[in-house]
Amino acid sequence: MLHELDPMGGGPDVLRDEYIDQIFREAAGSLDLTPTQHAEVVKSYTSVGEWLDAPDSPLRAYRPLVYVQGSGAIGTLTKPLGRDDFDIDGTCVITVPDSVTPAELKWMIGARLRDHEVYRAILEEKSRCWRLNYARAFHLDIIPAKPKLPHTDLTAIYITDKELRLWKESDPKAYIAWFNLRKAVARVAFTGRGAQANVKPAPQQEAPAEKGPLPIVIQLMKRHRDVTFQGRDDAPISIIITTLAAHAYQQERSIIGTMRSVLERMPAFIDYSLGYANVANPTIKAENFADKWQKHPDREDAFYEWNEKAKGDLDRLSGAKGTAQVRAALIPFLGEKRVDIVLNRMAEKTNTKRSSGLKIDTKTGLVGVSSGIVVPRANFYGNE
Amino acid sequence: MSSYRPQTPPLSIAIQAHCLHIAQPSSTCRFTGRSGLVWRGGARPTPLSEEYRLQINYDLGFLPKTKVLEPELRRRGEEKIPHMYNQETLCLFNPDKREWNDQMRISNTILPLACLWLYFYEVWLATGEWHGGGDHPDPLNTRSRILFN
Repeated sequence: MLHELDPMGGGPDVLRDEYIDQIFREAAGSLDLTPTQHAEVVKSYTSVGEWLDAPDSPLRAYRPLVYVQGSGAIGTLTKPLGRDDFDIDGTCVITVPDSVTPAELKWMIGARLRDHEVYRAILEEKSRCWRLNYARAFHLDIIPAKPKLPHTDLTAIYITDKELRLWKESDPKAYIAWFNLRKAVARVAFTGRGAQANVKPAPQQEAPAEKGPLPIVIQLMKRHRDVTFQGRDDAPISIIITTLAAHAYQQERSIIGTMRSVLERMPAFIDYSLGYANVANPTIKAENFADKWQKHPDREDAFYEWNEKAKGDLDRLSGAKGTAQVRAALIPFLGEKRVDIVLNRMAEKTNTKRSSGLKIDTKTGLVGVSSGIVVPRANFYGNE
Repeated sequence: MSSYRPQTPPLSIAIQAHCLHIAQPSSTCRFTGRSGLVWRGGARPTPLSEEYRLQINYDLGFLPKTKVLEPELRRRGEEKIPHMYNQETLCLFNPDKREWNDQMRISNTILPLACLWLYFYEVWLATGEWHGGGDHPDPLNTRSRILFN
């Protein structure tokens, strides 16, 4: 359902921002999993967890636990450009003895997955994880992990490095908790509740109407990044965009207000105090999400290039007037095809609303307002 | 035309003009003879739209005719603009279904429908898809031929 505009609620700039928010909200929704796909994802990783923990599973003794991490867990999942399958990252934590090597841990999980008739057919080995390629909609990456401190409530884990030689500390659940705290600072401060270390493992999927502005802005910035860097390999990685945006967010209520402020402020959260760019993992300070920038300075430049371009593109969208300009200004954010999908969906919703009383402000001609003349029942006609 | 005449008398031109003025105080309305009006006003269907200038011509006993004065409506290449008569006036309702009659206020019917038409026109211009629904005339039906030609 589209949000209703209030022509008395503010000046033309406020209305413009509100309308861009409607477009952005619709766009973010269309870049997300559908509710059906979301249910399939939940079912998939739940089934994997059950298979690893089945009574006859060799892993059962090690208390396997599968949960979704990353963008799939914080509402920032973004449909890849030109592909239909989402990347869902999952972690499989098994409490193995200390003597088990990273390569052995990965092998153990892979062996159990291969025992499954269905998984065997869709299983693909990646350097650090196992990938299950579900038909069309998504693939689920399962990253082998073990608890950092077994038999405690701590969420910190060890994952394997790319060469399967070393253990690398990680804490995806703490990151989720940190992000959720950042995206709703006001509410948490108000209720006086601090970060919960043990977050629910289920990936959340809020309806786009209820989703706060921060995850939506991150989805749109990732998409803008994908459109900007087509055919290039120096694009800023999602975790850098997400982390900097979460730092920069100041509880703005509107999507466009959040995007303006976040784009402006996010570079300031790159720490140069050590003489190089450091985007610290907020939950594991020693981990630098931008560690590749030292070896590939072009990626650092590319981040700033993207940031500047996004700011310019947002300014252009804010000033766009008329269909052609608006459509052109949306293309850098969504890609040409997606712009049309989004504009068409909004128009469909507007048309659907006619049956329940679509209102028009006759003073300005604005369609879809909170108070105005209800459009009468009529069919557009004509010999063309 | 006799079959079209309603049981009760039509709203007068003065009432129609008054209601249009209330609906959009910045608009202008000119009377033509004793039984007609030409209304001119503006419409911006979305906050990102251009401001359109609209004209509604109405003569008692006939259907109101709605035109966009400016900016000039655009086609998509060779494709004609949907739901218009002869690419000149907007087709806002189906006369065969008697969706409009002269006891209705133009300000509450034709004007909001014109704004909605502009909304769907803009999306059509951007994406090539018309989402406003509508009917297409039956070429054998004489009413629309009489009323619009």
